[in-house]
Amino acid sequence: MIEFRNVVVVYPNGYKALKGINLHINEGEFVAIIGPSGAGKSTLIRTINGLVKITEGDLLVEGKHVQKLNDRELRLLRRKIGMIFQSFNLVKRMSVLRNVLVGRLGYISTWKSLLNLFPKEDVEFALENLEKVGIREKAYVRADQLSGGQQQRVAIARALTQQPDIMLADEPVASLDPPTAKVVMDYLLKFNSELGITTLVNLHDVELAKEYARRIVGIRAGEIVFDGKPSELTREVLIRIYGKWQES
Amino acid sequence: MARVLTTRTKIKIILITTILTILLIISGILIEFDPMAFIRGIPRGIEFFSYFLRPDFSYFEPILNKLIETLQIALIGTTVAAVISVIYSFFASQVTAPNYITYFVARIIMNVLRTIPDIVLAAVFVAIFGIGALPGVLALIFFSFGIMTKLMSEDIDAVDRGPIEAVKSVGATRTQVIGFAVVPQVTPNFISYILYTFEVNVRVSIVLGLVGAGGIGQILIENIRLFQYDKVSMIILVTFIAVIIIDGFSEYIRKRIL
Repeated sequence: MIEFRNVVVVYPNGYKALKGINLHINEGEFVAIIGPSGAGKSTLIRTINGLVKITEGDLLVEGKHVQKLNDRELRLLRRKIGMIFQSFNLVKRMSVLRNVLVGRLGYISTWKSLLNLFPKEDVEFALENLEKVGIREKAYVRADQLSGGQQQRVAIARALTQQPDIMLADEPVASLDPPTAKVVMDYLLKFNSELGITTLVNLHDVELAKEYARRIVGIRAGEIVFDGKPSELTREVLIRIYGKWQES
Repeated sequence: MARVLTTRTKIKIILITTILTILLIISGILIEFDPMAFIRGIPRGIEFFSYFLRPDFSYFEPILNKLIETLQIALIGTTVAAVISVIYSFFASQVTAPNYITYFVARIIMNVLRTIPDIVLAAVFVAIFGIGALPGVLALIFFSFGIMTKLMSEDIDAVDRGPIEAVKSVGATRTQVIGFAVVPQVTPNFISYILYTFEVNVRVSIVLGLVGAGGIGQILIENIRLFQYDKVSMIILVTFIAVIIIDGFSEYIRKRIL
């Protein structure tokens, strides 16, 4: 469960990215967050795992007040929250398998991880997750040898290897072509329904949001202006979110 | 013809050129620069040069020993400095420093050390520890520390932040973030910097010998003082070949890595 109570984020340069967000997300939901660029989608998603600190309000994730956690507690929370990014953010010069094993870092000691002493079960689990996204055969290839779609699947495998309760996806398909984007979105939906992972996806593509999400949150200029079912996303609502709307 | 420069720009150019010319003339007068001295020196230069055409090949063995000493000084100096610099540079980069104060102090120490010329370092260490290889090694450690920490910390500053955020987001510790997201990104460049510093250090350690810090530079200055130009010529020849071989080898490895 994720709960925002009057959450405000002000960046050090004075920019107010979130202006009093109230949002409740239940376990197992698949929510798409839409809105124009600069509306605060990325900021919103990053407050959940503490990559961005909230300035005011209260943020509850898995029953914990994120803003009150110390370093260690925050790391323990983060290891149960997978995250994937627009630019995949794999370590390019490392093998695919090692990138996936990054998902286990929260579970093993620092020195063991630096000496590459991952337990056998971890390596097997990582390979299993590569299997789940259909690229087990790429395990020993360097990450930068893969196509964009494949890299994003590695990133999903990395997140799965964390055994996450929550999955955050920040524009996961914005750098991919439409067919590849569908493949990636299908995987996110599949793991949401099969493994019960609560999933939040930032999308700028409204059609994609309508197709996959069962709930859509629209934000504009740091405020929630819509929260409802895809069917309720009318032309008027889109104008409220985007200012103006052209039918494509 | 179209007007390319505005009047203001023209005035600026004239003004700057005039000031530079005046400074140049004043400097020339103050250091008593005499172009005729150069012309008068040419015959002596030719005489001097003629000695170099007759290198003393029998002098090869003592040169080889000193050359090996020079290489050892460069190798030890570079290795010790590399180990220190690799660790230090993570404190001197905004991306990886544990806090701002550590970063600030690390930068200050680094920049202060960089202002001391290598030859001054060597002269000071010779004064402290006496003539020999030890002051050479110490001078090189300080000198290469300055070069490498600068290059390495700037490299860390420039890493792709995306993987850092990703590794952080899985619940990794600070050290894990450095080990998994930063180190793989900077390793090839770090190796390249270490090899490059070694190349520079071979040349620098020759110069350091001139102030008594061991190696081939030491016999070079001794023979110049004794007017043994045939031996000086041989030293230069051997050094020249050795430097070419080392640079070529180092460049080959660097290209293979990148």
